[in-house]
Amino acid sequence: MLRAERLHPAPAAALLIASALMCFADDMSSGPRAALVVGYLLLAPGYAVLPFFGREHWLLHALLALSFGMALAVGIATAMSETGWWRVQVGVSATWVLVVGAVVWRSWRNRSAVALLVRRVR
Amino acid sequence: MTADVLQREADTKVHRGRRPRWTRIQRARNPRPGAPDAAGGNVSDRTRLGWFSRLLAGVVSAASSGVGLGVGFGAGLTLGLLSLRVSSAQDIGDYGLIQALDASYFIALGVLSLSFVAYLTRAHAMPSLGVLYLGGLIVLVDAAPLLIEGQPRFQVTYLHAGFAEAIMRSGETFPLLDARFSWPGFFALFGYLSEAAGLSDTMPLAVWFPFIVKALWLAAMWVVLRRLFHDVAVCWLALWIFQMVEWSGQSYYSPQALGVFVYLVCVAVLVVAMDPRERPGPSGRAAVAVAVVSYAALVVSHQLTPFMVISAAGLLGVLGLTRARSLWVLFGVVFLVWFSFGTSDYWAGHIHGLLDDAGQVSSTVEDNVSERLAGNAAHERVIYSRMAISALAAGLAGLGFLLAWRRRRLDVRVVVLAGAPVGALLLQSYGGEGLIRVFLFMLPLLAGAAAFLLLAGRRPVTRGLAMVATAVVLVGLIPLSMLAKYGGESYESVSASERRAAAWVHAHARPGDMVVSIAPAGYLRERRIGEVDYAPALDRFQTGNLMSVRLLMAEHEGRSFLVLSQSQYAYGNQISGLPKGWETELLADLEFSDDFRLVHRDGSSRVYLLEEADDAPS
Repeated sequence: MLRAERLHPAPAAALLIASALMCFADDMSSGPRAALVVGYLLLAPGYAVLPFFGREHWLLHALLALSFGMALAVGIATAMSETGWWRVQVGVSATWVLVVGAVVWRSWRNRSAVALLVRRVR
Repeated sequence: MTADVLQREADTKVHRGRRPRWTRIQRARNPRPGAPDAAGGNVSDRTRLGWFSRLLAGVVSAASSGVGLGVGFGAGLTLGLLSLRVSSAQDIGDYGLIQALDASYFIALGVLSLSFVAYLTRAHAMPSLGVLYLGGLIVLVDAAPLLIEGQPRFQVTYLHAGFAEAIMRSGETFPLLDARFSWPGFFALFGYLSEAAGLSDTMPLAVWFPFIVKALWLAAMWVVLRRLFHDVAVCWLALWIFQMVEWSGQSYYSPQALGVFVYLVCVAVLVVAMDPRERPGPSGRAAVAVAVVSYAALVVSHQLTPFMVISAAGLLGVLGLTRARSLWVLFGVVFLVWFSFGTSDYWAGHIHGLLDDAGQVSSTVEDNVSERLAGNAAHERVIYSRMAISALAAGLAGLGFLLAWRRRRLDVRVVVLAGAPVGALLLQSYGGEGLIRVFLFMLPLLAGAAAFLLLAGRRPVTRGLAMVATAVVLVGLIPLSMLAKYGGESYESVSASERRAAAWVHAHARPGDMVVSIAPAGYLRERRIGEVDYAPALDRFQTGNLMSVRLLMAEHEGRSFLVLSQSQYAYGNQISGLPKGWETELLADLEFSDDFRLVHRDGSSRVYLLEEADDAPS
């Protein structure tokens, strides 16, 4: 049985770190920048938005996260190319806002677990 | 209780949740009579085995130990990589890459295959280890052309990179220039990703694309097959068979490669998340939502694959084999919306051809089979090898279906999903490639059924024989697979000199200039699509001679470049049936022609300029 869970603090932290790194992507060298940006645009939206599918279905979860990110990027890119309004930075920024917003919102809903984790870290 | 039943029970338990640790420990210490031991044998039956079975069990036991697996895997991979280093692209001939591969490469793949067969006997104990084997196989088989030739293979790869570059450069599509711009999703996606990543074009991503997308196919296949076949060993073997039999090469940088991935994800959602035997929770509904948006992305990216998804979802839904029974209707609506509004530039000029194709199954099959059996004798043999490997997979799968049905273990969804893609053939021939695509979409399930057949032994003796048969099949597949996959490498590959010649043309051509090649040369369109015209002129050359090509170039208002290269010569010989060495006469004509001037030469690649032009590039 597939089951939904709130966003776990660990992936939330990873997504926020990746989002922070995206702010400095322009200063990175070509290889790491390409890996970070492409990986972020394709994977982060799915992991930020989709519910957890359970430990048994981690692979399905990963595939769906990738599919979602890819579909979002295809939607943005196709809309821009069809309208002739090609503004890549706007698309990237919109994705960034979606990811950070979803992570913050879902972490807030899961704040008791976040608080517990912070106490443990301390 | 037979070992088979025990294993099935164990798999079911593992699937529902991890079995308590104490149970596993207790069983290991006190094996039940008839239960399988670590070597895959049977404790009480071991004494009754003949010398052959004892020898086999000993070999399998040694090879499937941790050390044996490590040595087999390491030796196969290392030897394979070393052999790829000593193989030379210069040796590629009429039979493709197989002529360039060093003999040690085949030994390496054989060692890896045998080690994999040994691993299958312990796959239940070490289910994750299969990732290493499949990864090694992808590196050795899929990466072989890149490691030998040094450039991404397939002319169309460069054409697709050119489409993406055109979108990056202009910010718009060109549906009147090429029909594929009516489905711009894939090209726009990679233009978007590349520009966001600070790349000037999409080729750096195109180099990695085939390997990543193949891994994604296999991952999605794993999710589907694990639910349909349950057995870990069957799933791993199915992935291996798929990797070896899939000769169409559709994992190259193309919309259909991503389409296959989306198709498999949609099937995974229908089969796993929407399994009719389970109640879907909120995550199940989220999975369906992802399937819908992924399908929408697919609809704007590729023409054919949406039909495959609709067909699979429709059959599963109508037969009540998924909880998402009406999803195919939504898929159909999404398709119609895009086809009606997004691709009007395409179908306005092709609607009669599309309607004429519908329902013409015999002519579609003729387009897909008979017309491909053309070209020289070597090319025909390559085509026959593709038919043979496809027939072998289909035959094994057929027997697998029969066996599973007789044992009452046939999941009807396997049959439905294997047959669903055939419906797409009723609609169109897809330019003579429909049958290839249909086989590709059937293959994941066919591979699963074939793997089930090969691992279906119940008793120790039949299991041992099944392992031998599996080893024979996997090793026998190696040369057949390499011939079927890479038999056209002499004209499908692109050399560094060809890319340099194309770069020279792109640097010197002005907007409105025309580039002509004797045979299709996708690498000439890697850049500046929409600015520089392109025309392949093999038909003109065949029906006339150089003069007809010259006339084509002279008709153009701007300057005209003629680009010749080795892959074009090979295409003319292998596909168009021109005599071997046909280019010698052509090159001699060009040398003594007053109309053409050689303006660039790099290895076998030459660029000529039609002299009527007012000024030539320096």
